[in-house]
Amino acid sequence: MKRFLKNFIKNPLNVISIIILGIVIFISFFPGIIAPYDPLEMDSQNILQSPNFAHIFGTDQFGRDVFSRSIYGIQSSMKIALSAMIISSVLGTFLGLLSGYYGGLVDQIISRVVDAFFAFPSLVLALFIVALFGATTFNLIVAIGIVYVPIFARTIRGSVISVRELTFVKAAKIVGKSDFKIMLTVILPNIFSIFIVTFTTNFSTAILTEASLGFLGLGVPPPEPTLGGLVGQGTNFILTAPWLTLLPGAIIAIIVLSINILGDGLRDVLDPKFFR
Amino acid sequence: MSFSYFIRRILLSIPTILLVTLIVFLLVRLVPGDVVDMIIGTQNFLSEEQILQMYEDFGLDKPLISQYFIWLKSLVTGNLGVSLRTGEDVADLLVQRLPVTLELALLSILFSIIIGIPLGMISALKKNTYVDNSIKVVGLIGLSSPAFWIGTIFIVLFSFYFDNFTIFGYVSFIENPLKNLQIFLLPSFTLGLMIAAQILRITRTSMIDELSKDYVKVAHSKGLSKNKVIYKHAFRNALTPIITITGIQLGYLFGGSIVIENMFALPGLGRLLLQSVNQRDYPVIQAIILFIVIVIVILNLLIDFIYTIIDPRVNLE
Amino acid sequence: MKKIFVVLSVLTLVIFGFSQQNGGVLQIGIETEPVGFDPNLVTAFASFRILENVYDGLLKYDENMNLVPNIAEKYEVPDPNTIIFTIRDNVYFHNGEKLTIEDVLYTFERIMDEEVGSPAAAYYSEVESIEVLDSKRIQFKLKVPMANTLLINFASTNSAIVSKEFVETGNNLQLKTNGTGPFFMSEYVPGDHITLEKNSNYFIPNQPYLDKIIFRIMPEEISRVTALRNGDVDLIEIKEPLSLRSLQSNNYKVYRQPALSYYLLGFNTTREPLNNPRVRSALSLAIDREEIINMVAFGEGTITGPMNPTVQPWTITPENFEEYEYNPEKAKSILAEVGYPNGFEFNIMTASRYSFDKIAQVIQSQLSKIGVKVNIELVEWGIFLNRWGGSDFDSFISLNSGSIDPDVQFYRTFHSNGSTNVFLYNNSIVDKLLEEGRKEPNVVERIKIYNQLQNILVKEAPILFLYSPNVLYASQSYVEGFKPLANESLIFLRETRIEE
Repeated sequence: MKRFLKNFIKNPLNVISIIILGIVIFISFFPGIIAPYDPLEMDSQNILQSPNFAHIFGTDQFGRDVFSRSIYGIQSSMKIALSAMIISSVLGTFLGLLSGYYGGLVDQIISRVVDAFFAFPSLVLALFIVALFGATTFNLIVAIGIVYVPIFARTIRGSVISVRELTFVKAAKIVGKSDFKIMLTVILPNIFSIFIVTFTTNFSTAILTEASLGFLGLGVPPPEPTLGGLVGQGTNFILTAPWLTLLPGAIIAIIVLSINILGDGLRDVLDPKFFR
Repeated sequence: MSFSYFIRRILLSIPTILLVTLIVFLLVRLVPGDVVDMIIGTQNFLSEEQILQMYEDFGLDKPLISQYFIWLKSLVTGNLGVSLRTGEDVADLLVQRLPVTLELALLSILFSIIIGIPLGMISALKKNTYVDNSIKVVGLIGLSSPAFWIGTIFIVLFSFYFDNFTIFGYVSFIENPLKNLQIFLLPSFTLGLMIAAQILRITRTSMIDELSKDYVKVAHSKGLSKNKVIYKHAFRNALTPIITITGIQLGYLFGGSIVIENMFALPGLGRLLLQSVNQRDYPVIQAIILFIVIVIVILNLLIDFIYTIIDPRVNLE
Repeated sequence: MKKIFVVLSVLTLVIFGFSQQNGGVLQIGIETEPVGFDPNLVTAFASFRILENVYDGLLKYDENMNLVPNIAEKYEVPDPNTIIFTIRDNVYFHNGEKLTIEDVLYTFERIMDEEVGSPAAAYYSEVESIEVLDSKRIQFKLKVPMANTLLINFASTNSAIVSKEFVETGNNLQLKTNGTGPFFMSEYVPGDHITLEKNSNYFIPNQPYLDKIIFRIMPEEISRVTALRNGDVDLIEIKEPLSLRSLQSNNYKVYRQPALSYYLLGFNTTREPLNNPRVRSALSLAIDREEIINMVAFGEGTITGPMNPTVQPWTITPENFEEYEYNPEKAKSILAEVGYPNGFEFNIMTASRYSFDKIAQVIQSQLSKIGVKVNIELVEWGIFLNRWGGSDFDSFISLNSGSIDPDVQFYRTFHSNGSTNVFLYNNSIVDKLLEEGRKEPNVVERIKIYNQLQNILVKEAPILFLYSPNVLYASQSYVEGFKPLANESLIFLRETRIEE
């Protein structure tokens, strides 16, 4: 473990991304500490200001501080993406475990269903669910959650298959341990690294999906700020107030970039032999 | 090998496609409220006959299972229903909008290949140098940036600096080929960039893998010029993962086209999908989603076959 | 002799050439797409914009919103219960058929037919009978003496004349058009554009000037503005007043017309605590209408009372109402008086169009300052219309079309039986005033009636009248003769020209 950490820290990019993500997590829990203004507060004297000392990201057409709205937007996006990922990873891992461990008919059925869902592009499936059931925070979490189940199911299934043939698993079976116990105590720990890598890789995509939905107007409804929504609402003012779209968009890019660097770093550092 | 593999793959796709139709069917039925009310809503253009036809098409008085098969049958015969908003035949609508999305997709793929493959190759050849690292970072940024953000940047830049450049709207190729290409320039470049990032990375990885293989070293020692070796052999072998990745990118391409078409006001399937979502035009929503997914499944199938043809060494058990 | 001939021919050509500043194609960028094309049925503003040049009514407005003849070459009001129209002899439908008095009769029977469900039916509820007097004249007999008031309705697009034969042979007017207007619809590509072409048989000679108008559907403001700047379109409608900042140069013309339509906050007057008129009028004190205009419309709007401030002699301008004062403290104390010292909570239903949702957000922010919590319910347009019709809301933001006549402005909205009284507002004094107002022939007396009505409406506040937006358009400098009217109508497209 220590060796991994050491190698990980060697790359300065990894360190920067961890710091950024740390800040993002902090913001997600305590937005009020960083945000200088109430994100919903309107100020008719200061509409559409370009970035200045009092409002570092400028203001929107209602005089609301774009920086504060971006901060709360981060919280909103993180909340949705993380909850969705937890659903995806738990459900997906569960399906992957069953599928990979038992094989046979169970595997066939689960795999076919998973493949069917996997055939939907992520944005298309999420959009479909939101279109049908409405854009509430809960629905968004469920929609995005469903979208990423297949990738977990497939990846976990693959690595469970390669792990289950290993001798100590067979030994555990012979000894008479129950299937459930075997899955829990023996297999899970061995697929941990691929789980982490899959989680981080798809977490970034989940954020982008949520942002895209917000951009298209299918995210959390106003006046609650979401990063994608901020960019979408700002497009009307592209010519006269481009900071409304460019700055929140940059934040999305930075967060996703950090997660991707982290994911890459983890993948480099965790021995690839483990999940082939 | 090929033929039985061929058959097996097709057979496997069929349940996938069927399941996809089932998913779409069930999801729509799960929406709270009476399907008919939802469908008829406040639209009052549909004539009596059309409403009755809809009852028949949907088989709304029959049990759920029959409804599914009735629906399936009409799908197969090309009857995708009528748009709730305009009363137009949905299949016609799709055909009308398809060329735009197709053009966007093709041009985007073109850009992504033109940008992604060379950069990936350069990166691989100059592995771990400054050039490689910069390209890697650019690739990562491309991967991490939302398409709508990059698109916005381009829109801002182009509208500030070029007065006569048409950014939004659409003119068909037949009407005015030059204008058409100009209109597609920004959107397909934006979408292409997103995909290029992926292609870049995979090209780099697979090129590096290839270059480290024994046969390359052997060829070198035999005295073949470095360039010849690279371009001819290594690249060809590195092509296979690139093709697979292009397959996966199809999904992203369709998803991305929804965002890009809306940003740049291109009247393709993606824009139609969003409009239909906003107007609760369920027949259209259903049809587009089904169409996209089935096309992706079929295309993935084709790519698999191309894969085996290009590289017969590959054993896809 | 030959020389004179040549000179004359050249002169003719020259004169002709100059007077023929005709023709050309005008491309207009519009925000929303029409919803249906049946003039007697449509309610969407976008549909009106198209249909008002494709169909004609018996009367129409001139540029100062005065009623002038159209298909009817003259009208008479022999007594307050009777109107007689004499129709022109040279009007033809676009399919070549001649317009006869039968078509006029058919149109109004259709409008008043309950099964057809025309939104204009409510206006003709007092029509007792319609009779064809001879091949050119038709007579409307009214149950109450409201002839002068009723005349306005004959200029509305919902009362445009349709072809009896065309409809009876099974054509669905929602999808196919056949009007008598200066243009006919030659192409409709949903989501993309609508093409209107010149009707060379239009009954007014020399109109229209343009050969073609193409309405390009461009929902995003930014698309329209850049298209204008790039020269891709000739004229655009402007929904975000801020866009005007990018169109300052002399290359463009800006058209600004205060509209008669008005934004409103409508209440469901049966739901607590909004069922208490004092609560509703207290909210009026806490809403800063000026701020709404600045934030949502960037100043392009005017605060309005129940009648638009420009409509003489009916209007009572806002400063005459104490409820229009922005006084949040007073609002708070009134709420405390009636039992809500800590405010209360309620929902505003809204849709994301015509700036409804933006207005809702500003109001939400303003009311939070007096402790009233607003929850915004943002719903799809179809659902909005549904719930609006079923009064399934606490309150909503909407945009109503306004009129120059108080009966048209108020009757169906506030009468307890009114077809658009979704507020469930029931005040017998108001009903009585509305019924009397429509039949009162003496203008002075009528003014008194409607003054009393307006005062009650503001005091009881079944709705809060917010503001009237400015209708904004921008065009290339070579577009001439374009005049949007106060009722947002674009009928002057028939007189619009392109000076090349």
